[in-house]
Amino acid sequence: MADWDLSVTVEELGSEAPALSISVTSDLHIGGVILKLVEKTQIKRDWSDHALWWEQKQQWLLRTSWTLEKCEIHADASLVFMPQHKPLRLGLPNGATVRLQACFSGPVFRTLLGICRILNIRHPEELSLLRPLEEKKKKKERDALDEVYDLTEVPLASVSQACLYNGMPAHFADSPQTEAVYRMLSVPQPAPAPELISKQYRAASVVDKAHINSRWLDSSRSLLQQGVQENGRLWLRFKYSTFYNLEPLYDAVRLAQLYEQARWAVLLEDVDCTEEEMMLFGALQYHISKRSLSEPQTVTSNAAMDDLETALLSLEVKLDGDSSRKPKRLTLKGYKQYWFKFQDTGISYFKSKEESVGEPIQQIHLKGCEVAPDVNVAGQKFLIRLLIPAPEGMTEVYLRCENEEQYAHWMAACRLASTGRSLADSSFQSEIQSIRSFLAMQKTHGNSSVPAADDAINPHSLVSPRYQKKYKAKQLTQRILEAYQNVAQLSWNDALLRFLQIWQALPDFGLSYVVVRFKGSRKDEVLGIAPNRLIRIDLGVGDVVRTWRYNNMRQWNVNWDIRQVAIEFDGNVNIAFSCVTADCKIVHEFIGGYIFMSTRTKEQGDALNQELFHKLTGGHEAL
Amino acid sequence: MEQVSDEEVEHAGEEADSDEEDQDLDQMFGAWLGELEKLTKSLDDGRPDRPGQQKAPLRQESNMANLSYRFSVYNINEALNQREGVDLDSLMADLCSIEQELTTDSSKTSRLGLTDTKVHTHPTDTKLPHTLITQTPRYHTRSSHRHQDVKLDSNDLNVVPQASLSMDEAARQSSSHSSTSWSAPMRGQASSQHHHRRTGSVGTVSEHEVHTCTRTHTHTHTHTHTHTHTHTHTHTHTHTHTHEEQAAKTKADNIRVALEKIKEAQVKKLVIRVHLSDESSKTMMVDERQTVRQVLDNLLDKSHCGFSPDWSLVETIHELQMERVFEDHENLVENLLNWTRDGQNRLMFTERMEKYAVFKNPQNYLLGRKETCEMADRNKEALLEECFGGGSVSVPEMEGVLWLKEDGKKSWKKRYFLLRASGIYYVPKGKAKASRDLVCFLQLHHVNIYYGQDYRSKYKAPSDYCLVLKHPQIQKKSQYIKYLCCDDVRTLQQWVNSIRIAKYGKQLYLNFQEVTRRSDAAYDWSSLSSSSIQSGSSNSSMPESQSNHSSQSDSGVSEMTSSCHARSQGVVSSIFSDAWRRGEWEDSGRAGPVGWQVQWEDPDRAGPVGGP
Repeated sequence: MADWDLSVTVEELGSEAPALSISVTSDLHIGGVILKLVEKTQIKRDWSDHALWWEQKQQWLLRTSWTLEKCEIHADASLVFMPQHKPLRLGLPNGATVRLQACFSGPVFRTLLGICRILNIRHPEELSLLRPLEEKKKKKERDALDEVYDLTEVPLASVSQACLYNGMPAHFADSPQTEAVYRMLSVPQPAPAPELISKQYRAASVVDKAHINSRWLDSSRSLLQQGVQENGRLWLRFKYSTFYNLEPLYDAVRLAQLYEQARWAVLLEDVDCTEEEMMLFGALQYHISKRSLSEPQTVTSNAAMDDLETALLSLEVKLDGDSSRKPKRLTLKGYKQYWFKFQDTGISYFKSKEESVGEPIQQIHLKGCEVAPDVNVAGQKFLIRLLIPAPEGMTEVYLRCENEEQYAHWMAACRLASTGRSLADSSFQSEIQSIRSFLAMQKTHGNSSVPAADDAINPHSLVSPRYQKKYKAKQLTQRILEAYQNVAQLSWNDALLRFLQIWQALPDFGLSYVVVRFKGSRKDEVLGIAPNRLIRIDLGVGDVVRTWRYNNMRQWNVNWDIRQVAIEFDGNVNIAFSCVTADCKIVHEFIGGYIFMSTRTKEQGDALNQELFHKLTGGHEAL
Repeated sequence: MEQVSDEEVEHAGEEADSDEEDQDLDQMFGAWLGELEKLTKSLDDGRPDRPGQQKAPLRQESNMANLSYRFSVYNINEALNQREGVDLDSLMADLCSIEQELTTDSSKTSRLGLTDTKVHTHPTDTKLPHTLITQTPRYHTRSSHRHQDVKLDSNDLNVVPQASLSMDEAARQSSSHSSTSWSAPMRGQASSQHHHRRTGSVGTVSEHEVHTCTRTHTHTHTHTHTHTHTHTHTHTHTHTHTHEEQAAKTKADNIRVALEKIKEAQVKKLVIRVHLSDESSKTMMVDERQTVRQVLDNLLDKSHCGFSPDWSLVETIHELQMERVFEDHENLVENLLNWTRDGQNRLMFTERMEKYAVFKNPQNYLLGRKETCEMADRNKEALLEECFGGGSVSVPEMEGVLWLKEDGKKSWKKRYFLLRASGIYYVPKGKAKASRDLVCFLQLHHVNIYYGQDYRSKYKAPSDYCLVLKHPQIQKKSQYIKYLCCDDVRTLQQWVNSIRIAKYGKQLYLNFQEVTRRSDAAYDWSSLSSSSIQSGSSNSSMPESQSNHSSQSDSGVSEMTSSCHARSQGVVSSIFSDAWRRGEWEDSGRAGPVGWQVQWEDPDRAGPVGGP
């Protein structure tokens, strides 16, 4: 067989160096080519991660036993010899950027598994890689601005999820620097500045949202094949809105990042919600960021006990109160001073302290009642509004406290009591603390010229720009505080999970949009892809016209030539459409991906059936 | 309250010997146990010896606080004054079984607050300032709510000695290291048995003070006496040291016997009257810990009416003409305590189709369709698993025009309502139904959902298909009650059930699964009894149980083998099993489940690499 020259560029020699030319025969296999090449470079190093990339065909030559002939490589081919793993800059849902070694040669799905293993995110199948939004000019500025968390030094071999050191996976415990990265990954970021929220790109319409979905990478092809370069920028995002088996114990990073993605979806109105829901999200964000600050330094039980004792003693204090049994308008007049006592889950009051040993004038049982704040720090108004159920209806009672401290204690006590817990409950102190900090929030932002204290949170950081405009900080604090009543007792993890639950319960949650053209139709319409169904949205009216559920789906086909998706449902329902804003491979992957997600079972645990994923999402590449 | 004052007298008498501490312990216990017996006897006679129960509670102002006891008094009155005899034998049986349960399961009862006890057993500080002593009993108070109930029901049925835990603790201590510490708490314990008062809680006062607290009635009393008695105690403390070990041991044994009884008494029990659909009624005893499901099971055991998941406890609020099916997970006593003393509310034991209709025919509720339809059982199962199986429950998409009775007005107005997980909303006039413009009608935390009865005549409602939302404690007409009216019964059922899903979420499904499991069990042992016919006859009633049973005896072996593979793959796979099988037939040479999933119109054209 005749010898001929094959030219290969070796990346290690630098971009300036000329391509090496090696003499080969057509029956030489790829492995042999690599061997010859390495000899020729005369560089001694570990070449095991290197592979050949065929530039013209945009294709890796990974089958080392195939001959050049079989690969159809001739003398005109220009090959590049390069490592398969290269650094990648990855934007995380929390806005931070990590730099890590990613596989550029395998299908993106496998690359993703590797990334998630490094980041310690379980169920990587729910995530995918997304091309970032086009950045407007000033690229350099932005690069300088972003702090990049570097994980490229993490030896891939050492990555293991099982063992934890100091509460983190072993490969993060190596250095203080990687420990910091782990904290960044597993603890939600502080509330963003309101300006940061309003400056971000917001998808204003369904069509805008549809365009986002055109940026997903193809899971079946490699990064390099899709034009991603070394040190390239990609986003890591949760793509499939079915979050399997969230377990705070193992899912610190997954939960934190999922929360961040949800938070931004809410703040940027990516998913629609009502005002009440927005306030509740705000309250939860507030709670979560407060708790993530305070959680590590939890007090020992003994200290808590002592605190409790002093707190109990200090609770019996003079308190202004409105004793009227009838619902009473909130006026500053009409308050009468009584001596109040907190007892179990109720309040009793007396004419004076001296009479407090006898029968109270009235006892109020707080269990099941609604407790709402009415506070204006600047105006020194500290009211607790109690809506107490009784057979005749609700009775409204206002308690007026003299100062912040008193208010914090009584409010905390009322809140606990309304859920049937007494002051002996362990959450009493943290409750008081969170009320104090809420008051602080009102204080610092009542006057915009006063710079915010370190741990104070601007209420405008907790809501979307719409509500930033609609409400002043003071009003907003009040609204969020109202919503806060129902979540104040949640632990950090529970608050996170609650946030996710409420997010998932929104009617529009989990819908990924694509603009499509249905067969036989002359106008563009929108296809919404949800975890359990497809919907057809009329762009003119904005209404859902039809719903098809995967449950009733018999099969779906993609005609790759005319790029049309055809789906058959039970009862001879057939639909077909071509995709306008995204490649039909993306739609195909979404549908197949959701089917895949629903095949996961408890028995199978964390084991991932990669083969099945590819079969369901791969399309023609899978064969 | 005559009864209460009677007790005061009684206790005042006892107070005299309280200073003598341990000497009379045995005697006291004897008396106390005797009293228990007496009470049992009086039950047997069927004649109550409790005067003055019909009197109004303490005073008007404290109604709010004392709400809780009303029901039980009402019920006991009703039960005892009933002309038709109360089934006292069965009540005794209930009592016995509860006692038994308590003796075998002491860990359960001690949940009431061992932690409390630990907090409280720090050493007596005789130098405590006055204020602390007076305050402490109030602060500690996890269970003083309970105490107030007891004050009125201080009869055999609901005795709640709260301090018994500290006694428990004390007994344990006495048996393990010394014989010194049990005497004082013991007395406190015993006296609280009669005295049940809010001050009866041990509080942060030390054990040694307990008896004084519980004995004295007023707060002033409490603190004066506390002082004397703590001193007395330090005195007797040294005294008991000189006692012989043997004597202490016998006493400790006695205590243990008594403890058993106390444990029993610790749980509040209520006599309730349950009305059946044939106008008859049953009297039974429930304890405060029982869920609706447990009570239902109890009733089902006794009534031999055959097991069906539809059996329900229904609360009817007479004055408001509304009713509600209690959910299985709810606590029955807690709900009944919301009733007013003089009300005519009823508790019905009856079969209600709507209770688990959502799970029997989920397609009619979860898919947001207007029309009813059929669905194959395994698809139902998959649909339920999809809606309830995951981490969050998706609330059915419910929206549409309903009639709203405006606050305090007689007229009904149409509004477009939407249900979301966060509550019920309506679309304000002139707005589109974008989420951000919706007005919150109410949130579901604090309200329960009821069916209105005959509101066409009562409130001039447009139809009789009304639903009501109100706080469970509201029992009379009030502006805080929200009335909605639907045009037809189907819409009503959809709204009510969707609201239940929004409110209770996964719990509802768990309830259903639980009851299905039970009906399976019932099926097992009574294979051919009426109950099995019942569950078998309604083809759509229990998808789960049906499939479970058929898997063993069904002749459809081929069905089994072909679908069991799919089952193991998860829910959706099983939905797809039809297609799956077809794929396997079409492409039987290929192993694995790919065949059916993606079919290309022209697979030959696709190359191995492809791409544009």
